[in-house]
Amino acid sequence: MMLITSVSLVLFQNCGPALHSTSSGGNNFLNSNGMQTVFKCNPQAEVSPISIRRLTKYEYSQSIYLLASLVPTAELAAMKSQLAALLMSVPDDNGVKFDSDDTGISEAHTSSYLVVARGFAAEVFKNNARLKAFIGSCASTTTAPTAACSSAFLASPNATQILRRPLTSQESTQMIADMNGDWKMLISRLLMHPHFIFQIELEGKNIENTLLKISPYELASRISFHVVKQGPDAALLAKARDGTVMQNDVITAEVERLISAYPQQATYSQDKFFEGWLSYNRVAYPVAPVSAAEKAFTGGKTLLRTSLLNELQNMTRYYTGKGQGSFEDLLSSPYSFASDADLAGMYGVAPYNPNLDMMIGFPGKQRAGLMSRAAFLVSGSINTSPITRGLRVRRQFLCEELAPPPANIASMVRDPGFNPNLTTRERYTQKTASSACIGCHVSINPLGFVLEGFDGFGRARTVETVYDEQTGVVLNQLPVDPIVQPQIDLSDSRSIASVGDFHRLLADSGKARGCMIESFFQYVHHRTADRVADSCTLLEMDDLASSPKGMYKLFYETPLKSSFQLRKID
Amino acid sequence: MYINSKSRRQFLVGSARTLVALPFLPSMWPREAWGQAIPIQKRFIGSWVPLGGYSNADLYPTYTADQASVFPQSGHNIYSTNLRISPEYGSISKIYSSKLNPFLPKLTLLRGLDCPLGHDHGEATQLGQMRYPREDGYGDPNLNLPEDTMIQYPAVPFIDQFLAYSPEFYSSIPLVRSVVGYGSISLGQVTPGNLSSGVKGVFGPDNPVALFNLLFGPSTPSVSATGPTPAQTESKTLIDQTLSDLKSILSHRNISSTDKQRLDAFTTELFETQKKLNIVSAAICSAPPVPTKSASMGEIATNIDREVFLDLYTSVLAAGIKCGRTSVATLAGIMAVETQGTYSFANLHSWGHDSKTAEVGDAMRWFVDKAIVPLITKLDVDEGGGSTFLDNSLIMFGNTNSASVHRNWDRNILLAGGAGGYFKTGQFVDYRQPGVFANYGQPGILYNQLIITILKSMGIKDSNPYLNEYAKADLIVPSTAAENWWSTLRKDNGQHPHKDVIRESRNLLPLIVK
Repeated sequence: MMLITSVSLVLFQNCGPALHSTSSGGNNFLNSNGMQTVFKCNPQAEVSPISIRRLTKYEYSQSIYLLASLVPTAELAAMKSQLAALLMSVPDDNGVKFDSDDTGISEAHTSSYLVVARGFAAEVFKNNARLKAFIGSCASTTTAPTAACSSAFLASPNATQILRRPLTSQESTQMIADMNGDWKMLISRLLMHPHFIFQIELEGKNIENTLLKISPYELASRISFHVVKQGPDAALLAKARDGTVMQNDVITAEVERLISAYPQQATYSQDKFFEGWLSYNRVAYPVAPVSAAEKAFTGGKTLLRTSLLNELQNMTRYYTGKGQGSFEDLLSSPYSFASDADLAGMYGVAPYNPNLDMMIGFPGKQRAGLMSRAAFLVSGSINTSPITRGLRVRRQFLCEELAPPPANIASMVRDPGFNPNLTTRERYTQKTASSACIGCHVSINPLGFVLEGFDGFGRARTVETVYDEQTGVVLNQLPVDPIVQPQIDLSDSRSIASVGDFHRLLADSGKARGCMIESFFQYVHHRTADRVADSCTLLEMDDLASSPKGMYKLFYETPLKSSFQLRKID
Repeated sequence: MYINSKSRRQFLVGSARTLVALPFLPSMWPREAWGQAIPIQKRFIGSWVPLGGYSNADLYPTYTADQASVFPQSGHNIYSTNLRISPEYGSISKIYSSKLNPFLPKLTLLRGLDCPLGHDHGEATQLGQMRYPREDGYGDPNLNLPEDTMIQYPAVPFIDQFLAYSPEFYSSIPLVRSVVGYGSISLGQVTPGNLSSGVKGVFGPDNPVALFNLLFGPSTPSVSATGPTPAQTESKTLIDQTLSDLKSILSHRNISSTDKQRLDAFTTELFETQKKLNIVSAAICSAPPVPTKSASMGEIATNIDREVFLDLYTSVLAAGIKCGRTSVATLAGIMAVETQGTYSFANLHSWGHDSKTAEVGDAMRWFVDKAIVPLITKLDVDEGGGSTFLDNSLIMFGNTNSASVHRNWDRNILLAGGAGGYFKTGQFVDYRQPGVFANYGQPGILYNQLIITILKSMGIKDSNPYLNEYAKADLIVPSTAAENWWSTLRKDNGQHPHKDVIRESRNLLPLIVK
């Protein structure tokens, strides 16, 4: 559901000591690229556990489609069409940040899995061409399955692909005994099997007491789910069968092959990470020119929210999928990626064409860096929300937890009063000046004020125009004060005067990268990072992200790391 | 392989130890006998338009509720009158249009229900959950209290989810426990029946085709009065086989405790699905045609007209209820989820803040006319025994805020249907107490009492411990934070405006129950 936060002023008590980073505090460490990092590897720390997980709806659906591709090409479109209708009944995922955060399972899941399993089996059984391709040439829609034919199928690569591992002889024997002479029952059973519906890793070798090095088949699944969000295909499973998938050169080659063979799924996987990390769901809807004041403010123009999100998508795809830069390049990018004419026009540049990748720099020096994109500036009203902007930077980009607001906040929270003779910055400064407020707001306000060079529509400005909210008449024009002490580290008293400098400070601190890395860890391992137990893994990721072509490497060299191949049992 | 009910139970105890603590498990309920007649099942549909900012003058009749009755516990006057047409509009009110006129004797209009605690957008309160934030990370937009303060109290599920899993409501397990419609605000219990298990968001079909598939699609077994169909039998066997496969995984040496928890949850839900397959309904119904159009909510107005969408959605939902496929549903105002066009959430939000009451009223009227009236119409058909499906149901409609933006006292509620003769319908009841505490409106009766009344109308017994929890919410939370919050109210007046009615929050709403 869409979220619009109307409360724009938050007051905190006793914030100084309570303000802390979820990343390790001081930035006194250097990574292997000689850059500031918030992580320090502690080799003595025990890695934290990884549990089995239900496939997300997308992973489940793509895995079903991949299995459907085993039928003859001429049959595929019709079968996929039927499966698409069945897959609609699978509940959507509702993870807080990423789909896989939603580990819950409901009756709606189990009944839909039953529908899909039975429907898939019925589709395979629809004609001999499909059945023979899926089961083997010994199968027929008109004669009962023989034990030999059933046994051959269960030992085949196709059955292995369903469970993402070979069946044991005991399992095969039991399934043949239970199938009651019906191919559909056997296929349905395989698709209802927990090893298809969940990602289950039980077969690793013990390294220590409860620490496993996962098996080749399990590694193949991890790689495939990470890169293309589906179960491993036959080629990758073949590398698991002969064990070569454990070799780094094979992993690299398979990752590149998967990206090439399944480009849509690979892009989806990248996009979903950025959607979660950058909280696309919190991007506000640009104000529409409805009231007189809104018409005056927007000049009668509309801006679609999708335009804002498209820019982020173009940008992250450029630096990640196309391998065009490190995290710092992404963070401080001076280029527009606005492919929609309305947004590009607002930036004063030509639209970006993602197929050509001709780089388009912002005019002047007022706009640069990730947070100067309209997606992070649009407030949903004719006013800016400096507190919301500042909180977003602290929480989302620096992973800092702020102490909860005081219990009686509801009676205190209200926007500062309207005053046409004061800038937004001045009004919020006055409102938060009391000792009860400033303890926290000293760390929030500057991160919002530094973006006051952009209005609530995302347009660059040097003066703030104050409108009469009823009539839309311009009441005043006040100069914007861009100078702030952002205190990205609370001890840092340096002042800056531009959003470009702001992004440079963010990049230099290593905190923004560390925060992104924690999100990435969560995306890859489907659990939140433990900064102590996972310190070495986090630092490895930090090294990758800060290197040349770092965002690509972060995504696609992570499977090479030893930590990617371990499982701790709780 | 077929596993009989005894061995399934053994399996459950042996393999899913955490489940034994559940107060009730679907698999432990007695199995229904094939062909057993099912008594008339009451139904509950919760519906709402998000936010507030409408005009009370537009929402309520132009006449007043003027028949004073004494509130028996506290001695307050409350006022009621027969629900009738306002001559100025030829309908109940400007917002409740003449399309509702044929149903006046089956409607109940309520005013003056208060949620005094600060819930910014009010969604959390609409269906009875007043303590738990819906969002993480940035704090709850619907709740003006810190998350860590609120979540320390046991979180109850929304009443649609409570009913969906209550054996006091469902005398036999339905095919679909509840339809959580698009724009869900529902919170369900992690372990139904276990108050300390926490709550989780519950979501359902967001388009007519998905709803059809849930209620009538190939997932749902054919209804038969004579016994299971071959498809039902096969599906049950398939689940038995899956349970067998699960058992071998659960016994693996490398299964962790978290692994086990997740597979146990899978086990529980498989039993639920299998239970559905045992259902035999005597209800005579006909499935609606398969919807020909579908669209995710973000695509409404581009890929599908919103009126077409609502017509398809309410048609399938009404058919599902009449066929006995489910008896609980929620249905949001389409503006809760529409991202573009006239009735987008952004517009509704802006109108509320800009005091554009006419636009808010238009949006409300449009949704009532296009969704609530069709639902009422489709359910007001003979169910046998001299009553209609509507008579045995309760449709609850209101806004998640009151006329004042971000305020939740003086909430409005329209009830349709009598819940099987439980309600005294055809009334307009105004619970406000005039002339008191002008700064904060005229205090009425706690919203909790509406929740309690609805639950009891649906067959929840007085002894059910959840009733205490639903009554306890809001002002009754023994919270320092809550004390601080409403202390400003007390300071203004020397006493809390609800001091007399707080202790009665578990009582039924006066006047509307037979």
